[in-house]
Amino acid sequence: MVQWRNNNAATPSPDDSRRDPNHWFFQTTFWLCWLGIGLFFTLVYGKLTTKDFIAMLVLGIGFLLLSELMGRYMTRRSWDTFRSQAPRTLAMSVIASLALQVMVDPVLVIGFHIGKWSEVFSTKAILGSTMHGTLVLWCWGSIYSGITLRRRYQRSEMARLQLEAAVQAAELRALKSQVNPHFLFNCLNNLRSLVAEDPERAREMMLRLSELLRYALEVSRHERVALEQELSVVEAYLELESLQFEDRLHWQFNVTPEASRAQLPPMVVQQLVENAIKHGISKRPHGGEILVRGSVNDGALLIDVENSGQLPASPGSGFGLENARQRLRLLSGELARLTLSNRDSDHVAATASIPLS
Amino acid sequence: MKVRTLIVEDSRLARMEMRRLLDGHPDVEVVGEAGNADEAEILIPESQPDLLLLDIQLPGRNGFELLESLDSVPLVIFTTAYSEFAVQAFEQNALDYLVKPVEADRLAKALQKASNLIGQQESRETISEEGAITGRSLLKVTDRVFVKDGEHCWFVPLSEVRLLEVEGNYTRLFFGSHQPLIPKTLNYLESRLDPQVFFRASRQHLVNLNWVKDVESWFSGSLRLTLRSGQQVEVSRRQAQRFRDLMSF
Repeated sequence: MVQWRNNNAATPSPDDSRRDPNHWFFQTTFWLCWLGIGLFFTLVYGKLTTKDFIAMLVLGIGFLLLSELMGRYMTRRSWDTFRSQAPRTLAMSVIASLALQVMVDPVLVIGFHIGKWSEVFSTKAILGSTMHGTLVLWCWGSIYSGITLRRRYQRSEMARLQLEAAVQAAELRALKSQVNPHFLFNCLNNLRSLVAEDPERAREMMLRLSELLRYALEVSRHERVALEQELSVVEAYLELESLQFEDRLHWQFNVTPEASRAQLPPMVVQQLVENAIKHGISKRPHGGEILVRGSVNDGALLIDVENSGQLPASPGSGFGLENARQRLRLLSGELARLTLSNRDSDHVAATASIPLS
Repeated sequence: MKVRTLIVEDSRLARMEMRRLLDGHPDVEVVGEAGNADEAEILIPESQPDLLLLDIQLPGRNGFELLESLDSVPLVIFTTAYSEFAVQAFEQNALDYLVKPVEADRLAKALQKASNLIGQQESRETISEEGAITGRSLLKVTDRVFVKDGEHCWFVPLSEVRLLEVEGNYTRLFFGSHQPLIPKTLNYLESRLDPQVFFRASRQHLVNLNWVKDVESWFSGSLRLTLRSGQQVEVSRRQAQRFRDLMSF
């Protein structure tokens, strides 16, 4: 446990600063190339002595260490774009090449007796080493930042795609929840039977089903519809449910003219009526009735859906009341209200209050 | 031999549709229709169907609750408008299940399975018939009970039930590696089961004698039975004499 925490603390691991898995491949390749080129030119233009070789090796190790430090610094700072990074990389390379000399020269002079202090600290030597170091490190820094930027871009692209997929999944879920599959397949089965029994009525009912599906699938959740329009869809829905319930389902609408013109988010009444059937009528062997009332009061549209039945003694989570409430708030704003209670010993009422803007 | 079939389905149109589909199967005889569990509960003992075409979603008690209330269940093909979790859990155990609207081919396959099983059962029953003094209303060992325990459901032939144990007003059934509770008292079950097979060992236990492997004397005149599963059951002193008579010791 403790070890795990220590490990975690040692590596700064917000997603972005994580190293490229190919990091060490890049480091090895780059610095071996540098060494190779150095050796090649030394061999072509002169004689390679053991001292030269050791000097190059020590310098190479110095480069490797400094580039490693530079890389960490660049990653931590998350330098943004390639363009703004180029001059900064150059400045950093100058500083790093000076640091390299301070690091490497004493090692060579004291440790390996290569060169003399007076030679090392001549203006010419300092200038030459700085130019060489700067050039090499700048080149390294540019490639490194190119790789980092590309990786970061790929990662953000991936995140964007994931987000897009999540949004689509959420929309699809919303769509699915608007069309209850139980209702849909029962309805199709009943229609299939009705085709044989009463083809004319079956044709009519197919129209009702298309009306309902078109409304559920096409109307966007940002839109508002008149209660009148919503109720004509609810009527179609109830007629379709009548195929299933026949004389076990009765309904009545009672809506004031003012209310029928009022605007509300689509599918709100539909969902309330569907729940009244799902949790009320369909549970009763002898069915029951549904009463839908609409009125305007105090700048709010009141929808009251009453159905035969009783709430269970212990209100379980099965009613999805909280879901319905959240949905209503999402669609109609924070001031929307939804309550569910027993109206009398044989009726349950769901009442929604939707503020009219 | 016709498969006597009962349709349990709340929608009249759906029942009509099922009848229409069954018209194409001359070996199936529809012996009745029920619109809810209460109707079905009356009709099933009356018409003694071989097969139920049962909708899970019913007004009032659902299809599972109906099956639980039956002493023995016919073969069952579930029908449902939308395959839910409940049905998935069943798939391995139920005879079959059909989604509505029902495809003719799928129905034919399910019916084929049913009539195969019924054929098997009948041949088994004729063999065991001689010597069996089963009363008219007693359950046979080939009868199946429906058991539901949380999300798990089983159709268990009584021959596989080795032991029944009192658990308040419920009874615990031991079969295979399972031991679920069923909402019936042990006394009631005893009255419905064949006493030649299911022996009341004590107040607590009813034992399937076909599962007894070993009998030994236990203290003060009682007996101890060892079942083939390794479980041990004590026979009370009072019942021990009856047990000896039954086994003609």
